[in-house]
Amino acid sequence: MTGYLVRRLILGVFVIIGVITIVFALVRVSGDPASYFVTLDPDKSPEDIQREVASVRRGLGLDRPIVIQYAYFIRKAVSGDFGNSFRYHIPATRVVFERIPLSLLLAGAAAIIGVGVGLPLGVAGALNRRSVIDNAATTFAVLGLTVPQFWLGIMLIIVFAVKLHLLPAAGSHGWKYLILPAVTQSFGLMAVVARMGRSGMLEVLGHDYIRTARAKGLSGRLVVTRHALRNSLISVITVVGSSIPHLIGTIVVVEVVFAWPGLGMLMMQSVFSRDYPVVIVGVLLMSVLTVSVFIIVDILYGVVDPRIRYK
Amino acid sequence: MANTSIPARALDARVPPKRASAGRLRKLLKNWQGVVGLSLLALFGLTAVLAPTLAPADPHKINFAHILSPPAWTNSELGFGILGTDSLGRDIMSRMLYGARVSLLVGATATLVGFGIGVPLGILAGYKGGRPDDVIMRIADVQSAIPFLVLLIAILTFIGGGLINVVLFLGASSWVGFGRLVRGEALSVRSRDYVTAARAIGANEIWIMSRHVLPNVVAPLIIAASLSFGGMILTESALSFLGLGVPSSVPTWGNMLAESRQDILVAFGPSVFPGLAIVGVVLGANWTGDWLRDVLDPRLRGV
Repeated sequence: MTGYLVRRLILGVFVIIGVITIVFALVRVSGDPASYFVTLDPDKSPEDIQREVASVRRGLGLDRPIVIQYAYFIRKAVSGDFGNSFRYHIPATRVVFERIPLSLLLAGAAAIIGVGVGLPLGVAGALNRRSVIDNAATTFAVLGLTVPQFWLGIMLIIVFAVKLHLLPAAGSHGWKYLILPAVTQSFGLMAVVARMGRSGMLEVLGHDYIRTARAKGLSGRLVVTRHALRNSLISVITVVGSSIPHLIGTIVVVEVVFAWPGLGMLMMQSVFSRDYPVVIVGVLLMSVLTVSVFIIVDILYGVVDPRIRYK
Repeated sequence: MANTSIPARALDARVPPKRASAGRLRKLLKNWQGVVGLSLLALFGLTAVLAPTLAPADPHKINFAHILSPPAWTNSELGFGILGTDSLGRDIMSRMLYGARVSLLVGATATLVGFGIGVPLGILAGYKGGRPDDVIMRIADVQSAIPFLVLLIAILTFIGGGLINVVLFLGASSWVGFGRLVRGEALSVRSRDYVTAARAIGANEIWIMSRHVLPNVVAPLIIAASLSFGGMILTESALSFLGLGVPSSVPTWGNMLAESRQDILVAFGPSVFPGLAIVGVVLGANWTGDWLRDVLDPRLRGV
């Protein structure tokens, strides 16, 4: 198991190096990086700006060979030091870190709703094939793949905020503000969990050990929870794990729709205000978050299925 | 069957083609999802091609006299668009018809790009094995662990959006699925007798890969492509919605939804209809994919 985890950790390191390399290449390809780090303040004289550009170029090591520059960039990335945010005039890292709790809150709530609704729906569908519940589960699974999340968010705003006046449409000033974004963000996950929960359950229910469990007189409920559910969770975890990068991507869109001031919203605002340090730190941090969740999912595998020995 | 000396092509040839197609047609009609999916795709394809003829108005024509007019069936003063107008008085129906062109074009070309990168790499990895396999599959592992939408945001920030960039980046983001699919199949094919036979008579590797390995993966590839097509359209609309995709001057479904947000308190039409179009075309692509899976590759049923 440790060997496997070490391999996954190495993969994670490569993922982050890959992202750093891409960001480095992007910054280099798109023009003189110094221009991103110097603000064109009308108060500054042209000489001031010239001097500032020169000092930034020296600071970034732009007079050195590209390999050295790359090493320099990696060092900056590891220490998280990409200078001050252009908009907030405090270190970009701090701007980004301040938004993490709100994004985690949204992601956590969405995960709870997604699994909490999706799994029972899928399992109930598998246990009562071709029933109303089963149809609901499969319909959900299809909708989750076809409905764009940002549009679902807009529709929920129209129904619950504009028409019914039940919930606020945007912002974050209390738990009521969390409901619509969390439901929207959970939708894709819910669909995936419902689909895999259903098919995983159906597959497991056909196995001999289920018949054995029934034969030795266990109650139907015990067979389902102890024997079937636990084993069917493996396919659920696999699919949830592989859709994590996608889910982290959609959180950006959902935050923008609901003006939820998390990491994604910050990223998009920084994109449009050309706050490059914040964009760079945000992209790197979101990649680190993704890799961390991946590794947590890998550990969950071992908890759910003791047969997995991670060869 | 693996040990028979009859090549796979000959096995296929023993099935009379006519009966097979009749069977497929019957299967298609029995599967309502396939019928609906294909019809949806055909409908959207037609509207995209015929947009200039079908559009009741110029999609760019601004008319401040009739801004945000509701759809025709709720409108007492008829004649200002079947689906109403947006905040600049532009006809929503016409904009959606032209938007179909962009969505379908981006979906199809981005899928082709992903296909074009993934298939050769997958064949190379699966057929060659060893070092090339390791390198290609590790790159695939790394790439599939990157939150691509986030990276796309960075890419489009530093290099810029625009139709061609969006297509290229979407395509490059989707090669992994095709690559893995092809690799798995190539891996299982390369030790078959007919590949050994081809090698024995001195066929070169490109020939073997294209004539003996590729035909075996056509069915799963078509399925994967139709599913990827829907996914590409979804991502393109999300990018346009964020203001990072196709320039906002071009009417696309994502751009229309982004513009509609400011009018959400006053008019629902501009927010509802483009979304329905996205759902329709993605549903069409997914159901077509499911149906193709049932018809072309029964092994994958229920996956």
